[in-house]
Amino acid sequence: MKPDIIIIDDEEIVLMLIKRLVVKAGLHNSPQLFSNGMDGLNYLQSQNGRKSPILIFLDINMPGFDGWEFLELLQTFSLDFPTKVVIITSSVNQSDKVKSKTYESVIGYIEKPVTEDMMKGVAQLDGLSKYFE
Amino acid sequence: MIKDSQTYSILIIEDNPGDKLLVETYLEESVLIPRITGVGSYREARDLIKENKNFDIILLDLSLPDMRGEELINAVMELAGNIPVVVLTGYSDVEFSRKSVKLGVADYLLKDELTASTLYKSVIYSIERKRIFNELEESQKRYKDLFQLSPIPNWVYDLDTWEFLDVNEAAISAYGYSHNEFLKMKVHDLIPEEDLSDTQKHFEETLQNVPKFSGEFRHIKKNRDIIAVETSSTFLLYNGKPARMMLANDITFKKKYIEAIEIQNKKLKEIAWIQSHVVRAPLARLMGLVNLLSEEEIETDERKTYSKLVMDSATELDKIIRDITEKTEQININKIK
Repeated sequence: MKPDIIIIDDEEIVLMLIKRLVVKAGLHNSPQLFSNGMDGLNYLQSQNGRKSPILIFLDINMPGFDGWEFLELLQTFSLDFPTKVVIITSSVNQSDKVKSKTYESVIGYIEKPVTEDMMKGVAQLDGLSKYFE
Repeated sequence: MIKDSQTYSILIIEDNPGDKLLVETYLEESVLIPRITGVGSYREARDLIKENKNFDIILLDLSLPDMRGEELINAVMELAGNIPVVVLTGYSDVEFSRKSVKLGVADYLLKDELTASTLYKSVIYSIERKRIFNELEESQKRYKDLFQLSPIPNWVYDLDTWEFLDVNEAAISAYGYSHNEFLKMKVHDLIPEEDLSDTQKHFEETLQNVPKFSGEFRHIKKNRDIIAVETSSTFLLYNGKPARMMLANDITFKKKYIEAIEIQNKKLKEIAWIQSHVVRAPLARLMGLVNLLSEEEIETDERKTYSKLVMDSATELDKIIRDITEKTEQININKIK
């Protein structure tokens, strides 16, 4: 069973671009879009009770509440369903990539701009591929 | 008696021709080439010495027609400078002769007891002793100059009372206190009040068992300006009292410079962060949009919208680059006073 997908990015154009690629790559037909991390977390909590997983595409550099803070808070949640995070960032700093690996929920790291091929690759990621078989 | 073969230039100030002849005779007995000049009054002696200071020794009779006694000794001593003066006296007044030594004469000889050998001995000893004394004085002056003329503020303070015992010119001009003001102050007076307790600790460690000590402190000048100094001090005995000589190098400018460099580094790091996180965002968006535009199935209306978004992103990127340039221009290390 394919996971549901949410996309969190403060830029509307980026949300639109990523959504388009998600659909095009056949990952999901209607991913949920959030322009900040708090809205994303609220949505996840509202989904408690379900069993199927949710895949999160997460931007790091966002004003106010950034991607790192999102990951910290997510760790403290006890949700009934599995969550997997793929980071999509415009940063090219190695330090950000290294830091992302310290979070258990993070299974992928993509540097913008995202292409269709990259998006297709997400379905092959460890810990995710089983859902897309 | 073997004659001394060295040349001596001797000035005899003596008004009695008989005494003068006697002294000359004795000198010729022991010295091979005595270059003897004789004058008979203080005034003559004064004019001669003012013109020519190249005498090795002055032999002075104490009763001249125009001056005598203590007054004469003082006047001749002043003229003589570094030349030793031996007093020849007719009185057997030992008390006065003793006093004359205290006034600075090299020796006194009683004419009645004079022999060639006692005169020779006195002349040689006086010249030699004066030479050594002059050398010592010269070397003391040299060391005093090293202290006084050093371009780095330098002072000596009493280890028991912390009072200044001596300060050099550089300290006077750097701190604004006169020499006399310094000598009424203690080292503590240079320390800003809020630093006193910390500095006190350091000072207590710098007792005489610590031969050398250095550290960084803040000092306060007479005009209340605070400067950063690097001090180093060393133990010495000053007129027999335990003291330390301390050098205080003003590093205020150096510190400001380092601070400015640190600020500059911080700003450069900020710029590097902006390059990665802020500049890259619209750029990545641009690339994403261009990818989208290259897709064939896009309709004309959509294409128009995306083209506008491309332009918006380009404009945003332009603004960011201008901001960075402005930030870079704020970094100006030459502005430090």
